[in-house]
Amino acid sequence: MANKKAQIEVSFNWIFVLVAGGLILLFFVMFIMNQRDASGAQVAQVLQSRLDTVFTVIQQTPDSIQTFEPLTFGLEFRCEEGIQSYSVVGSRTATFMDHHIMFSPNQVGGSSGARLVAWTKNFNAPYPVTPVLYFSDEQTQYVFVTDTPLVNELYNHMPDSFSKISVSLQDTVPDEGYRWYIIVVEAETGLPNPENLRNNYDVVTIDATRRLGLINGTVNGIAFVGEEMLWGAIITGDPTLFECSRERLLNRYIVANKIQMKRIEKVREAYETQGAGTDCEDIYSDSGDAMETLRRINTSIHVVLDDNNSNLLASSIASFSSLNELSDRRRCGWLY
Amino acid sequence: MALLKKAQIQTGETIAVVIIVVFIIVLGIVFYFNFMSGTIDEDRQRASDLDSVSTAIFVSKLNELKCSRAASASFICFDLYRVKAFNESLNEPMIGSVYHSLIGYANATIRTYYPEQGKEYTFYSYEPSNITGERSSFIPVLLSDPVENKKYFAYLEVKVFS
Repeated sequence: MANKKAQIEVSFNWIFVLVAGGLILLFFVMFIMNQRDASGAQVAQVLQSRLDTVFTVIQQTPDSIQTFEPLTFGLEFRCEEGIQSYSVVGSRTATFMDHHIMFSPNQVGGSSGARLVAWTKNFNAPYPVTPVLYFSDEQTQYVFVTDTPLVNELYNHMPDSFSKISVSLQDTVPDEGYRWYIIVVEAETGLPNPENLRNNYDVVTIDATRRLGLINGTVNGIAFVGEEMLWGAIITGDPTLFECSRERLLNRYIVANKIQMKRIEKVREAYETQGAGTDCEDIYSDSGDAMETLRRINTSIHVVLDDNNSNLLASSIASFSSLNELSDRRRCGWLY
Repeated sequence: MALLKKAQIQTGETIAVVIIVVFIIVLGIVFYFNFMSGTIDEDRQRASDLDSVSTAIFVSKLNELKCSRAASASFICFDLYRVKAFNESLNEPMIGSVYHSLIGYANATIRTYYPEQGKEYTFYSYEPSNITGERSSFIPVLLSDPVENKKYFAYLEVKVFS
C-alpha cells in the first residue's frame, strides 16, 4: 500500500515537474518572441524617423541630386486617397508623409549594392510652389525609347545617377538583371519588344505639347503640367501612384495660389496707403490682371483634377509669367 | 525525530533557493525595464531635437514666404507681404489645417535688428493645450519690403512644442 502511494507520488512529482517546466519554458519563449518583434518595430521606427529628417533636409536643396549608400532593407511606398506613406518591407509601421511631395516607384532599396538616388526640383507654376523629391534606386532601370526628340531630351536631361538606357523602337529591351524596368515612350512611337523582361516593368506613355516654354499633356492618360510633373510620372512608373502624388501636388498648388492672391491684396493695400502706384492699379486691383489670372489658375487646377485636362492651366500659368515681366517693366515690382 | 528534522531542513532549503531565484529574476526584470525606459527617453530626446531642427529648416525654406527672384540670391529672404499674407491665410480652416499638419505645434516669428530693431512678425502660431517642453532654433534672414523698397537684417525664431 505504502509502495503504491510512493509510486503515485513519484509519478505525480514528475508530471508536476514536466508541466511547471513546460510553462516556464513557454513563458521565456513568448517573452523572447515579443522582444524580437518589439525590437524589430523599434528599429523600423528609428529608421523611419531618421529617413523623415533626411527627406526634409534633402528636399530643401532644389535642383540637387544625392546618392545614398545601399540600405539593407527595402522601402515600400504607397499612396491611397491622397495620403502617401512608406514603410520598411515587412514592417507593420508606416510613416505618413505630410511634408513631402515625393514621386517614387513602389519599392526602393532592399537589393544588395543598389544605391539610392534622390533628386529634388522646385515645382514652378510659374512661381515656386513647393519642392518635389524624386526618389529611386539603382535597381530600377529607366528605358528611354529615344526615337522622338522629346524622349531623347528627357533621356539627356535625366541625371546619370539613375540607371538609364536609350533604346530604339526596333530594339528588344535587354534584361540586365534589374529589379524593375520603367519604359518611357511617346504615344505616337509604340512600344519596343519587352519579351526579355519577366513582367517586371511599367510603361510610361507620354502625349505632350510644348507651349511658351511650358510642357503639358497626358502621361498614361493622366493630365500633367510642367516638366516637374512629367518627371514625377517617369520616376514613379506606376500610374496609380503617380496620380495620387499628382493630386497631393495640385492640392498644395491650390493652397500656394490662395496665399499668392492674399499677397497681391496686401501689396495693393500698401500702395493705396502710400497713395502711389496708380500705374499699377490694373495689375494689383481686385479686378486687375494678376488677381484674375490667379483665379483662373485656381479654376483650372480643378479642371485638371476633375476633367483630366491641363490646357487651361498651362495657358493660365503662361499668362501669369508674362504678367510678372510686365509688372517689373512698369516698375510695379515682381509678382513672384 | 532527527530524520524528520533533517527532512524539514531540506524542504526549507529548497524553498529558500526557490525564493532567492525568484527574487533574482524579478530584480533582473526590474533592471531591464529601467534600462529600456532610459534608452527610450534618450531616443525620444534625440528625436525631439531632430524634429525641432528639421521644422526650423522647413519653415525657413517655405516658398510661400520667399522674396521675389531679384531680392536675394544668397541669403534666406522673406517677403514682408508674403509673411503677412501667410499669417492671414492660416485663418482659413482649409489652409490652416494643411500647415498645422506640415509644421506641427510651433511658433514662428521674425524679429528685425538692423537698420530698425524690434519689429516683430509672428506668422505662425499653433500651440498644444498642454506644453511639456519647447525647443527654439534661430536662423538669420533678410526681410524685404518691396513696396517701400527696404530690406532688414532679421532672424527667424522657430519654437517647437512637445
